[in-house]
Amino acid sequence: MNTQVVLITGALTGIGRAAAIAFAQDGAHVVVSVAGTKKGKSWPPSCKRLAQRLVLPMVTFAKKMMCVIW
Amino acid sequence: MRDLVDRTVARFGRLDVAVNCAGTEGKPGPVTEQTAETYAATFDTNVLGTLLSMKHEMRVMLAQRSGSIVNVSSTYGHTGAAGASIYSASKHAVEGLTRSAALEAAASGVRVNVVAPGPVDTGMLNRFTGTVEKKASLAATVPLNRVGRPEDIAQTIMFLASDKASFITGASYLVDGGKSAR
Repeated sequence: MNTQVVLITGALTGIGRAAAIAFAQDGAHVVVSVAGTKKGKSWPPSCKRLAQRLVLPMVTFAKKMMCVIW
Repeated sequence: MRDLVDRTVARFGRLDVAVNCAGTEGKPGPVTEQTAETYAATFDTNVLGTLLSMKHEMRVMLAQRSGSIVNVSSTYGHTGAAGASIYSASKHAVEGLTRSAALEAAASGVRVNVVAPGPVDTGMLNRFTGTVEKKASLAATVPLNRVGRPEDIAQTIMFLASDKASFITGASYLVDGGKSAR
């Protein structure tokens, strides 16, 4: 089966963050969006290490949004 | 949101699962103190945010004729909440959006469900309860005698997103340690 492509909003904290980590541990490509670029830089290294396939560390694509692609 | 979805598809070729988790508790307080501004601050994130997210996610999923969307509501999407009327109303709206989107998407084999968590140990709950004592007394009202962990909710989200839930759409899953059973 192909690797799942998963998009998660609100993934910086709380439930969204737990979901992002769970899907990443499951081997999925996880795309997360968070409001506010400063917060986006606070992803701890442990989360990034979960990334099976780091593609782009961070991509700012709109004024108030950022996406992190694993 | 359009950019995010388009970039995801441009990079990976498809979108299998979308989890719409971004939400806010707004500014809790009695109905008599609410304003157009406090309404908009909560509804823009919880309702409009979920709507526009689904709009673009479904655009891709309906075309590829596969996919699973999981929204996040609250037990307050099923009941009223004294002091949190706008939050409760916004989560009721997420439940309605979910069921309606599920009906629109079903013929294309796309599933849309919602998870309704009870109290979960997050920053939002800390802001909601304010003190450690209030949080503990809230936990005592949960039959399983604790607040949820974010991972508890994540597991339900993963289940609904997966093929194990292939016959589930338009459903709202209460994940609340039994709180709603009372």
